[in-house]
Amino acid sequence: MSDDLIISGSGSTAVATDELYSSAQQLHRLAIEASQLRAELSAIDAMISVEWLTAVHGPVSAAQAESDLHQAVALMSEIEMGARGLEWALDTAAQGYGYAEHFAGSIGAQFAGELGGLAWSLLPLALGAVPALGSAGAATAALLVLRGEAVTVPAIMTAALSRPSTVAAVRAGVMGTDDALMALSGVPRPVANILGDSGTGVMGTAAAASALMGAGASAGLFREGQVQLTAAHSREVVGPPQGFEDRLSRIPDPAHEGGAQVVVERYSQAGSPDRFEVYIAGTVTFDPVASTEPFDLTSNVANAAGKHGGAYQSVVEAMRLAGVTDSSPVQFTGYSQGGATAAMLAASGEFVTTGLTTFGAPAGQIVIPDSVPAVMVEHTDDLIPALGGTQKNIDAVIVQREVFGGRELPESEMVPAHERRYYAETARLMDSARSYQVARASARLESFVSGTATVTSTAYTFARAAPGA
Amino acid sequence: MYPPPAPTPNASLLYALETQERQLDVVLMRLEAARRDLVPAPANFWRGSARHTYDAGIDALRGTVDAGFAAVRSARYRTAIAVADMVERDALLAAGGLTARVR
Repeated sequence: MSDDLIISGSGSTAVATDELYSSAQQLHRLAIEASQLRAELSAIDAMISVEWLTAVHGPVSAAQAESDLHQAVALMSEIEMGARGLEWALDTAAQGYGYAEHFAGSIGAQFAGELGGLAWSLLPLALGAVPALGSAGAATAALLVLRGEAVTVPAIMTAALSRPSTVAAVRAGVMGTDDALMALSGVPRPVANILGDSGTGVMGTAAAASALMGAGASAGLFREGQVQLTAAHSREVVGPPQGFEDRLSRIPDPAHEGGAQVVVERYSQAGSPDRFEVYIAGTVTFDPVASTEPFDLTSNVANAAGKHGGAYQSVVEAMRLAGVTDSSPVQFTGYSQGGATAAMLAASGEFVTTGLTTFGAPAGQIVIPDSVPAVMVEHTDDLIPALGGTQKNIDAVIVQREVFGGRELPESEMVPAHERRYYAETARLMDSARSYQVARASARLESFVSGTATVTSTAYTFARAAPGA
Repeated sequence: MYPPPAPTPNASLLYALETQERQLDVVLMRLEAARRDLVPAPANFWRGSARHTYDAGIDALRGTVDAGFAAVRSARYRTAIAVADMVERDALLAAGGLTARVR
């Protein structure tokens, strides 16, 4: 189970494993091949007739060959029909699963909205129902982890947070935050339904995140400020990225690369404009109090609110320094917050975005234009992408995998499925995937830099100059 | 009907049989590739009766592809025998030792 890739999106409502899609494609090709072979065998069969053989006293073996050909033609028809029938069964299963997922998601979102609306009136009861000690312990542990402090994570908590059902519930819960805020503000439920995600979308998760930023600011949290470059260094690069695993590996890890959060590769070829690959790191600190690190929780909330936070500003500045203009073709690749920032940049329309790849990004509610080929990779047992809400981008290729299905959870990590090494595993599986959705997306991303003469790579480090300024 | 390019009926049939043999060689290679590459493996993506039904369908399809391959291979083999017969018959006709022979 943990090596199965679930593929959805690509403009279709179908959801299925890479293996199922690959089998359906094989059957499709087999049906076409059988049809062509039937036509060719019929033509061969028509060259020599039994009448002709009889008239010239042809060899008996030639007449027997004619009989074999008749049988072969009939069998080719049978192969074609059989392959088409099985292909139909697989397509129907994928469509059915997709509809079931969509239906479950709609019900979940509606339920989350209703629950969000009721949350404030039910809050005292809910709190009373939870054992106070356990609740306080879990909250303290979560806060310590979020603040980057060492903490022993109880195995039971890791297991609970890594359940796909928990992740799905969190995703639905995120979609209900706007309803909860509207209920708090006294907005009647029917009006909230019209304004929320399931209605006009005037309110929604972005509005809820904006409200959170506003409320937090008064308590000294989530206060943005201007960013400035603090360091830049050249990076060794041998050529364009080959596959998803290589692409993920080029995203900088600030902890091991002197704090660099953004890498820009520039591809030059005589006679055509320079092209750029931009790689964006994930969150460096989850401290809700904005510090000099722009890749922090404040930028995460800003991304959710659709605002240009410190991380977004840093990438835009790195691109400017690297020579990206408003007509330069650009591809974005990001991990976690970097993926959400990449999605924001692609959605902004400010750049000629020709490709987007995200790994574990909370970016479901960031609407990427249909014209941008996008691949979004999420683990179904990773809580972080769920914080971005349900996936709106049905034209993107959505690749999902349950990392710890039937596998032991590692100790000392609160959300192990979000770890980059497990996304590297998934990327490796994607590189050997055979479904046309993944293979086509990979080919499209790689064609961006084909035929390049020179490539340079620069890593950039940014700091927030004056938080709250 | 295949247009006879040669002046005698035997030569026309021999030419047609040789052409058929060559074309069946190509079909056989394509069919072998299809049998190897285009028949999916049994499913890992389903469980229970759905998996059983699908796998039975794949097994039946593989059997039909095998039967198709066997029919084309047999047609090609018998065509080759017919070609050899025709060549032998032509040789005997040229030597004046045969008026008609059917094997």
